[in-house]
Amino acid sequence: MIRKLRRPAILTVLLVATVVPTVYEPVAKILFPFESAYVYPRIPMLQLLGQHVVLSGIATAAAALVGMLVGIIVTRPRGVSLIPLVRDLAALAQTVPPVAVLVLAVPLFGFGTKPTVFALFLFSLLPILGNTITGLQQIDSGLLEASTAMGMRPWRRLVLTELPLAAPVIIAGVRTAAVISVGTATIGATIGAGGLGVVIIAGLVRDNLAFITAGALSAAMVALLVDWGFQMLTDRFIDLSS
Amino acid sequence: MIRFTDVSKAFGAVQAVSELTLTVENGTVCVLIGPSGCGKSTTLRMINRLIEPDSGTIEVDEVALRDYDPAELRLRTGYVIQSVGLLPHMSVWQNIALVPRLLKWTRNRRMDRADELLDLVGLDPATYREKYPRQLSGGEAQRVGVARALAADPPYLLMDEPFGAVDPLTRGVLQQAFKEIQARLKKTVVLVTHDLDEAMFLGDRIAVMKEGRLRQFGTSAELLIQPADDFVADFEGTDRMIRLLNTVPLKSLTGWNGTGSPTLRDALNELLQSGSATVYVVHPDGRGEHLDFEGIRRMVKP
Repeated sequence: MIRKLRRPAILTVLLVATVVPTVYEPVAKILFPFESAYVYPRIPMLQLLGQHVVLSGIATAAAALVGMLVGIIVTRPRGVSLIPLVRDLAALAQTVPPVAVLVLAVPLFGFGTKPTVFALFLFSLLPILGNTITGLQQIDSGLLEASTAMGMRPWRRLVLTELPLAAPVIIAGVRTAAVISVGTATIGATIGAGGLGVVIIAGLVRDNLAFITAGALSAAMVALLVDWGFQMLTDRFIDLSS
Repeated sequence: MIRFTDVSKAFGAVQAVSELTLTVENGTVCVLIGPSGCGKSTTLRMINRLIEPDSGTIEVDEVALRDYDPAELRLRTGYVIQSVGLLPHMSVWQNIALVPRLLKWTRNRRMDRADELLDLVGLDPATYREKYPRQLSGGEAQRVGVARALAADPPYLLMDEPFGAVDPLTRGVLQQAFKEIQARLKKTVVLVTHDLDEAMFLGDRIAVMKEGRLRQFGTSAELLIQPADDFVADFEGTDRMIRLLNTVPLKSLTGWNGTGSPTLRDALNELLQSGSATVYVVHPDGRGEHLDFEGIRRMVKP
């Protein structure tokens, strides 16, 4: 148990160290002795962290909802012909760089949170949708037939057999999407969505290494913590199912 | 009662089943047997509407299958397949209690029923109920498969090579166990196999199929004494008379210590092994008799 918690404990300590000014300032003074300022003065780091989590959280949750729903629909007998089209569209959404999506989304949604969430949503969709389709398609056809032969109607079969068996693959998709979102959410700062990217941009503008480090390090810690959280979820699922 | 009338089914250019007419009486085991591609599995799968026939009618309890809701029909038709089909993410008891769950039984009732069935198929509930399918041996999984099919006490049981995937020793044990269960429960069973010994051991009546057509339908003794054509005779092999000995049950046989009940074949074996001129047997009607070789011959070919 203690061994299991070592990694999140280290990550949390590092995260706290970068967002709590009273801890970060003395450390940064040693690391970057020639900077003019060590702690971003305009907005508290904790608030930026909160914005960051909300941005990437909403985007991932929306992508999970839409991705799973579409994935389920196209793997039903009537939807199978749509799979290539849907996969191509999702792949297209991911090949467009998020920065480009931001530029295109601003005229639609204006500045701020909305276009950022939209860009992150599009970027998160492919891993979730792709894994949902793959997860549902890879199920042993014998198990599906056995389920039908026992008297499950399509809906029951989806809930009792298909989703549980596809769950590890689907969760892996959501995990990838969540980590990508947390990392990519930093660009939201360029159009006023807030988040940890604000400190990074401020650091770049002022050529301040202490700011850049604080923003980059805290965003990275959040991403790793999210990754760890999903790892726990996956482990739990495998414990349950085997 | 399950009745096929002029049932045909084709997959593309392949005629899987042709004009099949066959009646399975309640409480009996009907075995469908034949070489690969003879249509036996297709026939079985038409009974729970996994496959729909092209023409002809299939009736269950005098009601045409197309008048049943498929899901309702399947809830009262147990199904056992070779690959077992246990759901890997559910424990043994949850697998067994699946159909009761679909029938909305309460959790307590489902758990009790699962324990009951584990007992029935010879697995200790305390040891097995919480296990997962991957922790089971082939034979254990097959027993759980049978338990699952019986969970909601369906009047009908469909079995597609149920003992095909286990080693010969386990297969024998499972066949014996199934025979005992069937003697108690008296289900209406349709069983597909390509193993003639299994067919003759388990089947009350045997349907021999070839290329989608029914070649002969009868008891093992009928099939052996009077094969309908050369195909059936060839299928039964060159040791037909020895198999026939198997179809004559005995109540007891002095000197014999196998499991189940002895047959005339065991008597012949005993005679050959002991070197004495006769063996003492008791017939099912209670009549005792000293049998010699001639006596055994007379019993199968009067």
